[in-house]
Amino acid sequence: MNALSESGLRAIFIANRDKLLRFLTAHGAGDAAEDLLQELWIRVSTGPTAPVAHPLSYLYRAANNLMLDRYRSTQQAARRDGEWVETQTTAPGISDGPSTERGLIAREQLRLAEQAIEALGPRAATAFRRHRVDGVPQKVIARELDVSLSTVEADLRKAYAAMIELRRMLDEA
Amino acid sequence: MTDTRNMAEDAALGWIVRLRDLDFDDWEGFEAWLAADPGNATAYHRLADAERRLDPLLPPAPATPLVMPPLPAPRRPRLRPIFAFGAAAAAAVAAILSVRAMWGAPDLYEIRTRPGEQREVALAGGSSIRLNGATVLRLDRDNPRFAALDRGEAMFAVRHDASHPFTVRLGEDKLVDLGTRFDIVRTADRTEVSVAEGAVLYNPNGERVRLQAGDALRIADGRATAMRGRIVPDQVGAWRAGRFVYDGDPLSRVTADLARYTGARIALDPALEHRTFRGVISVPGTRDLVELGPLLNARVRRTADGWLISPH
Repeated sequence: MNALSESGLRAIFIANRDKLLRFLTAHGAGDAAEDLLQELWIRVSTGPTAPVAHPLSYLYRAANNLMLDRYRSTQQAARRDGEWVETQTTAPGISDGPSTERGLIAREQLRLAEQAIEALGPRAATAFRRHRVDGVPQKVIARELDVSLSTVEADLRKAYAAMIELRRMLDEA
Repeated sequence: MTDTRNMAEDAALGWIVRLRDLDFDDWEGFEAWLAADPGNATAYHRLADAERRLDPLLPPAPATPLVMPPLPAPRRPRLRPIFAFGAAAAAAVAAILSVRAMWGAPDLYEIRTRPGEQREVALAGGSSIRLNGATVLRLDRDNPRFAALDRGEAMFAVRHDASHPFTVRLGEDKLVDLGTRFDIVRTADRTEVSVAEGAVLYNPNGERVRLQAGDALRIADGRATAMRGRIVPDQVGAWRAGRFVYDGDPLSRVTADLARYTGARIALDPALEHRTFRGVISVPGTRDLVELGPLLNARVRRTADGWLISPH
């Protein structure tokens, strides 16, 4: 049923095999690079979605996600080995239990996040909300705020740094 | 040394920001930066991993009104009344439609679930549909790339095939997949589409609204209101695991979801209809609905034929 698009994707995968392998290696895949390339193909060929517009970019993005997933599972394994109790069993931030206490913690975290965004100043806060929450591209944000693309990127770096710092702080709390 | 690390972190943030744009294509530039120093990949992984877990800290994007001109009346007049009827009348209309379908070309058959019953339907070609309770779905014996959701809720996992797009008929409206997983809820007065993965096209011959992963479309009151909103893709179809995620939704909706999923009759005191709820309800842990009381900040008690949720 999916033969056409799948064989098309396979051809692009094979033609760009070396490039993708280099990309995984640059990510620090080391000896596992070949295995990871296999895993990448299994992922993209069995996933329910097929790329619509830019198949090579799609493969690169899937490779990038694969390396980030690998990082995540290594972190989780390390954490389990420690004395941590895993509470995030399903979607990140969504606990299985309906406890009011967890709801309060989540609300408190949202409040802290809101404060951190406000603390960026109005322009960076707007840029961050448009980019990260609404999914608007930088170019469009630059037009909306009537500033240069490099100003938007500088604002976004600052904003992402602050939010990532908050995420890490809450992880450790 | 500290300076080098900060430089790597600052550059990593730049890549995180740029990679979020969907049309990012400087993969070789990104690779060159990663390869330049092992510390770069380390910094990138640590920061990008945290960035991917920001969602629970961020509000879903506020729903924005979407311009949806009403369809020209003469286009498919026979199907139009379905929006205007109550649940019972809608079922009657659905029955008439089924009869009509027997005369027409498509060989449609109906799948119904009782309240509280969930069912998985596998279609030829690798697609599948998970039906929530109290749902009426029609499929075509001759065409595994078609479904009509008459009422209830269903999560679709569609295997993409550009030459045979999968179509879901929603009354007079139509949804065409562009390779995807998505959830649809249909009640007498509301249709809601949430996309978990890939993309769908709503009314390809009319408004042509393209919805991508993380997009939701809500059409209510006939076609008077159409809203486009953002949702967290991971949470789409969470009901399949008995999990319900709300972000300021009215209790009337929470109780409708729980009734559909559990099969329990749940009455809501009118005084609470518009109260909103934000949080997560996990049903396997709360078959005894009394446990919901503290969570909803309301009184939950058994009645002769079900449950009543009322103010304290």
